[in-house]
Amino acid sequence: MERMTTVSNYALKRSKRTEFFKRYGIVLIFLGPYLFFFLLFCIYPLLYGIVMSLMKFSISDYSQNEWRGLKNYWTILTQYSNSVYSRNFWYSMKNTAVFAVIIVPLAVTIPLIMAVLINTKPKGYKVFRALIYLPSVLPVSASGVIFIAMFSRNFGYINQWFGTDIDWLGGSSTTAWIVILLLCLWGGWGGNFIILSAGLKNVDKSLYEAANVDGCTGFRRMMVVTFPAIKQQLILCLFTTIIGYFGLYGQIYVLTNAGPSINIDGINYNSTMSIMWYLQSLINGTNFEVYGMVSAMGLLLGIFVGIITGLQLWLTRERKSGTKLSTEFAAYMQTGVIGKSAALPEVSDDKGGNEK
Amino acid sequence: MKLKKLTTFAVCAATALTCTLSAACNTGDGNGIVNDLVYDEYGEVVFDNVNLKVWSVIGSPDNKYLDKVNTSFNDYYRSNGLTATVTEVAESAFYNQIVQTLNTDPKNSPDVIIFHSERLAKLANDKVLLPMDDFYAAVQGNTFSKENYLSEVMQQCIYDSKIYGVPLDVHAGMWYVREDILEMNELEVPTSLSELVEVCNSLIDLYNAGQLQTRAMDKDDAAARNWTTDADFGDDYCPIVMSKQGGIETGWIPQTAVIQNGGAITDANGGPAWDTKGLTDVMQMFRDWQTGASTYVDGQLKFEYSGKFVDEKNDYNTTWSKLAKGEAVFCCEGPWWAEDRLDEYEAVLGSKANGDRFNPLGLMNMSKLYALDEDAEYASKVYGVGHCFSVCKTVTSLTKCVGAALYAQYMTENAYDYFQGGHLPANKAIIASEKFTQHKSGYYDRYVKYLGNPEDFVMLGSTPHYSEVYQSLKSVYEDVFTYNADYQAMTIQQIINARVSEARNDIASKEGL
Amino acid sequence: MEKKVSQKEARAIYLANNKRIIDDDVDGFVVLRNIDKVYDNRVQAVFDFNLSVKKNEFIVLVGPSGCGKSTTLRMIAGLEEITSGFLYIDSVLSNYLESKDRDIAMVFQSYALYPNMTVYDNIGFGLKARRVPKEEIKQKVFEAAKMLDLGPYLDRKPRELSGGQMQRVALGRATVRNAKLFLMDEPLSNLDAKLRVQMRSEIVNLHKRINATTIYVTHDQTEAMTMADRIVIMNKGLVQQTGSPLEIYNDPQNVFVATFIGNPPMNVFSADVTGGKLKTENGAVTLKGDYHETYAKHIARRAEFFKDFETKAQLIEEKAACDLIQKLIAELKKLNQDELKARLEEICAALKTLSVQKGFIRFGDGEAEALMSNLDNLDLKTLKRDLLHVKQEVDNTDLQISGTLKKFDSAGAFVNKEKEPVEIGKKKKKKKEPEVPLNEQNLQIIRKYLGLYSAEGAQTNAFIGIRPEDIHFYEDFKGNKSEPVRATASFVELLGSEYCIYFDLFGSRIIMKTGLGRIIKTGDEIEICFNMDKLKLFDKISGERVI
Repeated sequence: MERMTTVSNYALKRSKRTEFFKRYGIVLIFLGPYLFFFLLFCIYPLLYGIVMSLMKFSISDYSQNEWRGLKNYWTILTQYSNSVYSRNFWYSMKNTAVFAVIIVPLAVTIPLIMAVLINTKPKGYKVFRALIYLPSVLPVSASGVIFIAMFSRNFGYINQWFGTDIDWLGGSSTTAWIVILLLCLWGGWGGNFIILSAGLKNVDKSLYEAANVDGCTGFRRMMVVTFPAIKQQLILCLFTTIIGYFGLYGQIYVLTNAGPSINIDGINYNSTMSIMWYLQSLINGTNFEVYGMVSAMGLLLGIFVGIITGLQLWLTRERKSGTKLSTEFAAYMQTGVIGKSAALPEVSDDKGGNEK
Repeated sequence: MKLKKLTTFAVCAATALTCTLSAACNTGDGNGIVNDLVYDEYGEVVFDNVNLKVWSVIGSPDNKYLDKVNTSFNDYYRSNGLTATVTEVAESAFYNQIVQTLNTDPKNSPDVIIFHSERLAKLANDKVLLPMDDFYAAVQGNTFSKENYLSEVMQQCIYDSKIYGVPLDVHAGMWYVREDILEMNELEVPTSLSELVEVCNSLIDLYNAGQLQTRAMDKDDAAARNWTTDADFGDDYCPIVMSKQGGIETGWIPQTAVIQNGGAITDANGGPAWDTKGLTDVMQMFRDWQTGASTYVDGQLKFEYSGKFVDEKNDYNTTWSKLAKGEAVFCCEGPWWAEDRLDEYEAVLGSKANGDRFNPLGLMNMSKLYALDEDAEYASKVYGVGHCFSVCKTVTSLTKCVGAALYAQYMTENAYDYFQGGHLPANKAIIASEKFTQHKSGYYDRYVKYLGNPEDFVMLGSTPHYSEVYQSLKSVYEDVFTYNADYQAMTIQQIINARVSEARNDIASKEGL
Repeated sequence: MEKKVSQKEARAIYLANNKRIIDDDVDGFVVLRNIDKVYDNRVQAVFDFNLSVKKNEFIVLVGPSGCGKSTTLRMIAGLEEITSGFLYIDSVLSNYLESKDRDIAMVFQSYALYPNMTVYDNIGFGLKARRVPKEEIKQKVFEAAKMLDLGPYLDRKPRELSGGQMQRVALGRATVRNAKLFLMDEPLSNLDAKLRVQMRSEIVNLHKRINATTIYVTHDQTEAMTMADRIVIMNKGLVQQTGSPLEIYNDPQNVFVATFIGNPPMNVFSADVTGGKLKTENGAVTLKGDYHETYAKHIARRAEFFKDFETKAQLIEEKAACDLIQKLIAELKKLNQDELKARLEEICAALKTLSVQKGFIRFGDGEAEALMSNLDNLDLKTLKRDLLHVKQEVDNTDLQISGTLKKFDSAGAFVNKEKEPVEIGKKKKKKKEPEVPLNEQNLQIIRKYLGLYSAEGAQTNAFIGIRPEDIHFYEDFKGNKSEPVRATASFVELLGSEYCIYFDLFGSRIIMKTGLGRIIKTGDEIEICFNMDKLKLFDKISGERVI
């Protein structure tokens, strides 16, 4: 029994379908290739990696691959004293986290100060602007070589100019971290500077003038007017900087290759190792069975960064206005007295009620 | 919304399925070889235009010599329809690349690989290589036998009692010596540890007395090439260059120290066995060389020094330059530099062959150089590394396998030209032959003979845990020489214990995956 | 006038008074004297602004866009630098006083509310910046909120408010500090028409309640008329007229003021006044007796003035003399006594040519002789200073002349509407013209005016001005009416309670505003008359009002 329908209903249904393609056809054409490659190179490897992390995965001998379930994660999280993977993972996570905590405030504050200064448009500010961004243009390998030349013990410029004899990159982990921090700062302040500078430009000039007239000038004005106005840009900078520095790899590889060895409680670690460096060293190493473990570590890192980012987003969310003051004002209007001690009038059945 | 959810689920499921499937299945194992051998009327295998793809880890400067041998192989076997093409792959990427290509891109993978034989056990364990015994058996009248090769070196290529590789050569690091400075100051090239200490003490004493004659190997500055006693090398004269952080000697010196004092690098389980007393004593001696303090072995005074033997500011950048300046007399580097360096020094400073008074550069091998007991039978042993030929698992045609085996055999039995690059042969016949000792380029007398007696060479031992065992021993050496104050404060025993337990932990963690 | 004292004494007094100068002679709460504003690219925005604002007065600065009213307000607020002139706020010389020390409150055109603070914090911000205790802040903010009806919005952020509410918050912020002076920079221009009307009255009420001196800037003449105690009309950086709204409406001093105030604007047209009559094709209007004579006298006066001016300006044209002085000043360092004596004759001659008029540059014969005889005691430094002084006076005179001329230009803004015809198609390449020195420019303008005035004398055309509501139907008007004139209504607008009738007369379009007494349609023939008491006569060349 065929389904019966009217011609106009059929026309509607059909045109609805073609309508979809008409509207979204162009979107599919433009987005299609990207979507395809995104699925192929981002989503597929992600899912493959998740599956890998649940196995013992060897890339040289597939016959060794076996299902392990959550064993890799369990090893990393609980077997600190037994497994060298767990120990190195947490050590490098600690390194990365401490480094991020130290550098992120610097990497946001220093460009902020520079942006505020350049915003006052002194003579030759365009030159300074270009100079500030220039280091970001250099690839890490090039700037890394420059820093090695500066900080090398025997022939480095720093030791020659200041007459010191410090082995910056190999002598102690502290000096090596300092050099890494300098390279990261120097190469990175351009990006944040541009974002913050653009944000500053968009602040309404009359806000500054109103603050001047109201009596708030100088540094206080900066805190009360300027910084809240660029709050969105600051959040963006913070966001991207934290995520970026959790993936710290290039600078370490070029400068110290995870740097001088360090011995803690009888166990040796690479002292300037970051989590990405550790993962890369496992991937490029000659142990081909560790790929399951490496995937597990990578996923844990991703989860951890996700938690931090989520926390940050939650802390900097836009808060809705409350009603505290308007209720207080209503009370004031009723009673003519300000203060919490003023009792709110009771809702009574009287018509008219208290004085207005 | 429902459509979206459905699509996502579908994608996930498809991926998961593909992953598990691809992970679970194998891509070809040794049992997949197809027997397509065809014999001709003489009983020889017929090769129908078989071209072997060879990946080689041997780079500059000795790759040119390997190419010569390869060309001769092609000339010999081309009429049979068998040829080989060699491609170089850098060592840092070699092993990773092999494994990746073999498993993901079999069509482009090599048929034969030339690599370091200490890695063989791991590759064989991972079923990357094919055992070659049967291939030789398939060729009638073939003279291949493992007895033809040095036993230690051949042992490295055997895994699970099967022959997985054919060794090509063996070598170790060399000490390059400013022979002219020694001779000018009436000293001789040392041949053992005690002689080395004596010679160094004399050098330091002469320098402190202002009587040390030195000259620089400087092709631009003629004045520096003159003998002088006034050269200023600072407060201390440190005749030995031992560098920190990345010098190539980390791969030979500590290993030789272990072997020359009766130890072995690996144990029967493939784990590290190098934490011997001999190593501890030798490392302590190295530390004393940096400070100038006397060395005690078992509580008794062994050596006293006139000063620091090793300058604490050395690193691998300064190795050659210090030697050239005359600031040091001994430095350790790879043997493949021998020809180039000899050419360089002789061009600038002359040589006895050209009528000069001295040979400016001499060579010294490490035999007896770290033996605390010079009379022991193992005192003259030297730690060696070598290259070998193996067949990859992606070869499925038996004909090609046989061809590869013949290639390995030919190359290792006829590599006379190769050793000009500074290696010693693994094949006993070559060692004995005149084509080796009287090679037309004269390399044997010039430098190869100084590499030592091939019978003295001891290798790593068959272990699939190559990097854990070997790398941690290298790190011990680095820890002893590092600038890092933490390590300078530790005792040698602590350093060794830390590194060996690190190796054992690494192995245990890996096995526990 | 301030007493003149020596440099040292001035410095002592300045420091003694803690760097504040109080001049009790100034009349008014806010006094601006000879205020000029010149920007870095030598564009002058405000010329010679003089104003005296009494306490609690509501002053409105009004004018078209770009006339300098906002700039003046910002100079009073301290947001722009005063190039020259004196500004006194409450008898204190405030040229370089910081904005926050001037005790002013300002409402901006864009409200300038702090976006990240609540309304409560916005209003209380000024108090917080002055470290007033919290309870007091709350008290004051609540009072302001009560006054402006902002109670329910105290917790909201500015982005959650509408335009009118933001405006009230800005007002609240300004009032809560009890400042002595209120400055408002076009606060109502961002609101819709209905809200604007409502807020107008609120601002006026606020002013009455707080009784603070207010200076209000706007381009809307309706606001000016309805809100101000006194209006200052500006155009092209110059003040056109200052006075109460009624004065300005009934007694405009020039064409610009006349046509700016009033909606629809005053009808200004050119007409032949021969024989004291305005002749049209449909009749004649008899003017008051001495119109023509007064007008002629005015023209003659102006012509004489410009002739005088020309002479003055021409003196400056003795460029040779000026150049010589310039050169001499530069060379003075290199000259020694003897060379100086030799050149001195030249110097004296040059100065003499410049000083034909005593009082203009004080260097006559007597002084020249004194200089010559006193050569031995001649102090190079003093001579150089004197010469520099002379040169400065010459430059200043140039600028003064230029300023006066600009005044003439600005008044006639609505008169000379001729523009160069735009050439479509070809674009002329702009050649960079060599800069004409100032005094030559001045001379050109002076000569142009002189020419116009001299030619005018022979003519009999004048500018007549009459407001639309002063034109009536001949039958209905009972006052001092002229003879009837017939006209055809070319366009009629009905404004609900009135008609606006457009017709052509005297060669231009005249607007007439009248009640709904009779029904007029386009094309109707009407008979109109003028209210002769309200007829105005304007100078055609400069725009000034003559009668």
